[in-house]
Amino acid sequence: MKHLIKIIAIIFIGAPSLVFAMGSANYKIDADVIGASGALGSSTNYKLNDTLGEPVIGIGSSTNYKLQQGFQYMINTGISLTVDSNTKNLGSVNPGSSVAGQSVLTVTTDSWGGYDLLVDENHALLHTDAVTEIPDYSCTISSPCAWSGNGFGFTVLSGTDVEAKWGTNPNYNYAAVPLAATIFHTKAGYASGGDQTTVGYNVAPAVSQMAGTYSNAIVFTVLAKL
Amino acid sequence: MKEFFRTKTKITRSAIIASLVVVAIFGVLQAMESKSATTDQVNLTVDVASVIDVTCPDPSAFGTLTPGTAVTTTATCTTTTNNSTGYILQAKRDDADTTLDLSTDATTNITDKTAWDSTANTGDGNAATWSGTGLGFRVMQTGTDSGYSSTWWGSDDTLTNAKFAGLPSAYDTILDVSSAGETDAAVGFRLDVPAAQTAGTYTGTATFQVTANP
Repeated sequence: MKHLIKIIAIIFIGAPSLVFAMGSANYKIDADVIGASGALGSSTNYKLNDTLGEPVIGIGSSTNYKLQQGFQYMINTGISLTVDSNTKNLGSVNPGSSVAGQSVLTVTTDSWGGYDLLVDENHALLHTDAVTEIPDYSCTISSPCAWSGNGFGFTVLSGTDVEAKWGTNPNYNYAAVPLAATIFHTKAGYASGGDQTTVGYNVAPAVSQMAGTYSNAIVFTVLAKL
Repeated sequence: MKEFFRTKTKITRSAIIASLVVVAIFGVLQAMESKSATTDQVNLTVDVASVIDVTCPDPSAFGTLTPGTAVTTTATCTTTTNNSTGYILQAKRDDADTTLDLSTDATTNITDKTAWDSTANTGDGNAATWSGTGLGFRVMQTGTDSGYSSTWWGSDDTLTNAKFAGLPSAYDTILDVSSAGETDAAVGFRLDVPAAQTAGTYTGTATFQVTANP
């Protein structure tokens, strides 16, 4: 009987250490649980992720705080992203000159790890002739650079924990908007309420750029970090 | 003591086995890189303005003219535009009666050829092959990059085929270019005077303008 008690004690002391040890250079377990049961079930129309046997679950609260307790809360993070306007007309620009604009992105999340902001475009700024483009700026998100020459680029004008690579007013650094979603800004840690990031655009058509209306779609994506 | 070690070994082995069993039975439900994501979109628009510019350096002087022996000179106008539908080049003389006046007496003129009218003859214009005297002009095929009209200015630049007209008093179109870019337009002038023309130096100016096509 004494042996059995010792074994049980070792199991409950040792088992969690097994769980926390599960990680490598390439993978990370953000949330885990040891319970009596649990699985990811599914049918044609529904999917159920359930756990059974957690000692403490549910929403606890006091006057100033609310605590979501349990595995299910840890793996379900709420996040929202809104831009101040879904249409942005930068107006008219003469070839050889430039015009600027901006979008304000507001992220609201309960993610304790913060979030990543990504951006991509469907194509370069495209003339209504569906052929002529204003080229994307020459520098990339990984290494933005001061504005020089022609093209269409963006920068991060302001926000929380803005990376130094984007520069500061008035010496911002610019990058092309890529065709594939790419992280351009990371906000670490939890923030109460909406967190705003202001993205600036710059369009500088070449002297020979064909007159007319150019457009594209810029897609912003936010990923919660757990 | 020996019994103690045997017991401890049994306990440790049992504990490991039991741990594995528990892990296998109850399972460990783990969320790997669980992330929530959402997107929003901005439709971006910008208008590149239409711009156009023309430069027409002064042509070289006709030099000394002997009545009955025509002289020629050329001015090349360079137009730059980003307008996808191109532009029209127009010309006019700046003097009310004729282009060239005697510099010491503005009432003494050199006669212009019949003033250019691009709408004459149902749009074929009224330029004609050279004959007689006067000051005429034409758009030259050679040196004009785009938009040359053989209907207006003749099938080529040879004197036999080239058509001339006088500079009009108001702007009229002499060239229509239908594309964007930088293009040259060569404008030729031809001058001859009758034997009775008053001797002296004659001067005058013409003005060219470009307008982006709609």
